[in-house]
Amino acid sequence: MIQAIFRKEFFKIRLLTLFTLAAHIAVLLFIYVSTRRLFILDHPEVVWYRVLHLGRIHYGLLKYIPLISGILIACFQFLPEMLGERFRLSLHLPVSPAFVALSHLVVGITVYCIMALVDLCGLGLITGLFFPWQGIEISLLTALPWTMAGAGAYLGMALALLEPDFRLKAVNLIIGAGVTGLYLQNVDPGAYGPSLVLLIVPLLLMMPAILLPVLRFRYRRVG
Amino acid sequence: MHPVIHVDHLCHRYGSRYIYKDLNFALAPGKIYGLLGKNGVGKTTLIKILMGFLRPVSGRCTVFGEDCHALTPAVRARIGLLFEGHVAYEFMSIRQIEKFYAPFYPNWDKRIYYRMVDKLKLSPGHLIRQMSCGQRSQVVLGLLMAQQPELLLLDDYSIGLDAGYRRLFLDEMREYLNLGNRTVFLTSHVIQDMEDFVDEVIFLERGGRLMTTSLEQFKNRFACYRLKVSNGNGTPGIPQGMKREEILSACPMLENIEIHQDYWDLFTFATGRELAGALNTRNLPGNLLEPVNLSLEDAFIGYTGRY
Amino acid sequence: MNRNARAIYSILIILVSAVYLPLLYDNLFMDEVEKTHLFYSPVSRDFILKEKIVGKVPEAAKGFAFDHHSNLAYLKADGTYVSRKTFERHLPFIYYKNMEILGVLPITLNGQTFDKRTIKAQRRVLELKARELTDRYPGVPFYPLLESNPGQARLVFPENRFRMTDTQMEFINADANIVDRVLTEMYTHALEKKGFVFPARSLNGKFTVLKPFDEGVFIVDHNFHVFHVKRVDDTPLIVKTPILPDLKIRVIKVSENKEKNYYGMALSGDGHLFLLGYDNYGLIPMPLAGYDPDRMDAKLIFNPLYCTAVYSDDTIIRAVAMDKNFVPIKTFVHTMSRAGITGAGKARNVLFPFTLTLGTTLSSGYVTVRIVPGTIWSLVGMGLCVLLFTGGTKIYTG
Repeated sequence: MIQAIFRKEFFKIRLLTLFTLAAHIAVLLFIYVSTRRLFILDHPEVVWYRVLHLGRIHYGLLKYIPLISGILIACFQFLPEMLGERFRLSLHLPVSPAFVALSHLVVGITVYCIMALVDLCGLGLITGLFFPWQGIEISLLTALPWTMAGAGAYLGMALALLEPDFRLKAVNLIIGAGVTGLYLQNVDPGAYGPSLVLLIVPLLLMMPAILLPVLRFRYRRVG
Repeated sequence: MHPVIHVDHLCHRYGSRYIYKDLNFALAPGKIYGLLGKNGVGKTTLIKILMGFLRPVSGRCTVFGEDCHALTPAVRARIGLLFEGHVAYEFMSIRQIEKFYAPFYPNWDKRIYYRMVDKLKLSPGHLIRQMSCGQRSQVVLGLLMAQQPELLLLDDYSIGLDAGYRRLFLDEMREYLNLGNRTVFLTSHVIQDMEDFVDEVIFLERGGRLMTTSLEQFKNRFACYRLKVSNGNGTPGIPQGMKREEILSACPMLENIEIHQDYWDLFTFATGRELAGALNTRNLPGNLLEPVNLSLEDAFIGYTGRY
Repeated sequence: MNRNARAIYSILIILVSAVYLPLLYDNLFMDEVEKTHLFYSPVSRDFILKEKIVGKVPEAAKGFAFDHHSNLAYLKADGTYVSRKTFERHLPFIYYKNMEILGVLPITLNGQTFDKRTIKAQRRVLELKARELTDRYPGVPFYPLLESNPGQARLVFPENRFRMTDTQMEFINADANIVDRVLTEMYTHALEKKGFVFPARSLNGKFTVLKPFDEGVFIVDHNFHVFHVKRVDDTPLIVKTPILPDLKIRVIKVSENKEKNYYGMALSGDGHLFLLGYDNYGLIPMPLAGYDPDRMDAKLIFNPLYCTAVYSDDTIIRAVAMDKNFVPIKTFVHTMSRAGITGAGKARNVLFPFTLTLGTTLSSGYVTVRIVPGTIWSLVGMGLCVLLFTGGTKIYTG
């Protein structure tokens, strides 16, 4: 049964996801080109000093890309479900609403994680072409909170889209924005390092929290 | 025998507007019920409440003995639900949508589905969003039938369908129902379709007044009598300036009055003689009543009113 | 299921609110007050300070605000307010340019005369912040070892960077992005020959070309011996300093200065601060009572007559004025104005029984998650909420 939901979701969002993935790759290519240019304009040791020591990173463009992707994936997934309240079709299936909600989420999160992985691997590869592994390490540590922000954006957007009451939709958007903002502070590269594990907690909380708007959508007047 | 659906003292409102204050009815298994009512009386609301998509202010509804707002997956597997507008996942193709639903229903028979959709003569990869309303309705109906549910809830199955598709829909339903032990609860605006299809009709009126009767009984008992309006030259008839309420209070057996320029149509379950007698006591010419032939649609409009 | 989902949702709302509502409140109502600036005046031979007034500006202060906002106060150690010009005249070694404009230079103090050139040459500030300690800030532990004898005025970055692994001083060539085996072996061998024991505990240097010259790096080995490593004419020059390993040196803040009297500051394992001298790496202890390097920033301000050590945490600032032989002359302790709680601050505590803060701090350059509890005022707030809730429930349910 879960396979049926996975198939449905993957099929629904496949094209738009591919476009988004293409956009990610385009951004990574741009980062590659601009990083390469840094080394054309200056000696490598000077670029290393600026990037590794002064923190003037060469991949700043990537900061908000996961956030945008997270929002888009949630929209691709749940906007069609909200159109004409089609989500009722899945909620009427002879399985619990929690099963329906969480299996939908698993698909979205999986797709998002694939994109995030592409970002991180791409960043690692590009950095590795020009910097020692210490540079790769710090760039991944810097980009990881941004990918967590994207996951927060996906979950926050899903929370908002699935909520039937427009007032609570606004509240859920604020929650999503709030959680996402935790990962996007302007700090030195790698500064999030020690807190990353703890900062997974809000994301973990958002997944079961999705049940509340789904139950409200399903039963209208929950309580 | 336990009712398939049981509604007990149901009360629901939107804001301060009450849809029903004390709705009660029960549906026996193995019959076809048509829920009739004007726009906005709460037909779709009732379906939503029965399926647990809406929680009523008070009252209790059960389906297969379970509370509507807590239908277990096992019970939901026995219910085929058609959402108003033949709502379906339109991004899927004919083949994909069958593959999506099949694993959820233990009695799923894909042959029934394909028997329906093959008639469309479309490729299995044809997307639902590329279909017309009628074609989509066929796919949705096929999905419902393939599920082989014991209870079919069809919310306004006729919306967007032309006469041909509506006829096809009903024909398929009849074949399906012949297999026995199936109950159908449908709502529709197209009254004439009900004529050869529905066993019982439930009239739902604004405020929640309900009348349940067999279609046969309704057709036989509900009648229309026409009384001309007097033109003021001494011809007998309803006096000019007569108020509707006066006749209604004189004749409590009247369900509805439709006022036309030259005549009034009086609708009642009572006999012509009873009505004439009541009119005569108010010095109205009851003997001039002319019976009017009614189609089912005329009778429905006569019962519920034109507006 | 419903109850659990509600509970988790509520926790999320509390979490997000605990982070952002206080932030919003701070942005709207709270002032950011920087630390007090504290100095020792060679003129009055006493301390003098500058800080932002928190709360109501006293009348005494207003009178001196001729040329600035009245909430910026200049105070003597005894609390009397002075004007900005008086303040600057008390600190001629800092405001020497203004003194020159005023025609005060050359200035005679303690029987010695100082002109602009002398003052400039003998001014220096050495600073060690809590967040500069090892492992307190994110960084790539990958450094340039500059050529100390470049044969020209300007220092130049080498083509390679080094880092300390468990077993070597590893150099990587930037052009090729590969390990430079020759350099690596050369320096590792040179270190080991001098008795260096890997892995290193800390690596200290000033990694910039914007300095008058280069004194290389100081590396603390596994046994707390301090090695001075320089690159001279592209060969390693390594000195095993006589600094006692018992001191367990944590950090050396290197700061090259033309006077060539001190390499910089050294911090021992037990929290004592020293000046690291050129004279056989002699350590001169700084008499900083109550200094906690993990919480406090420390600054040594040198001028032609005195050396003032100023060290502070979030609320209290302390200073020790010392003579040229680092004998303490005077000390001073002051609770900074930023420690004062305003009405807005009290209201903040009433509103927020606790705050979730995510960010860097004065003592850490890493983003940390901290729960900051409120104060006794928070109990007032909580009590009010309980009253409102019970009252509201009674009214609602009748």
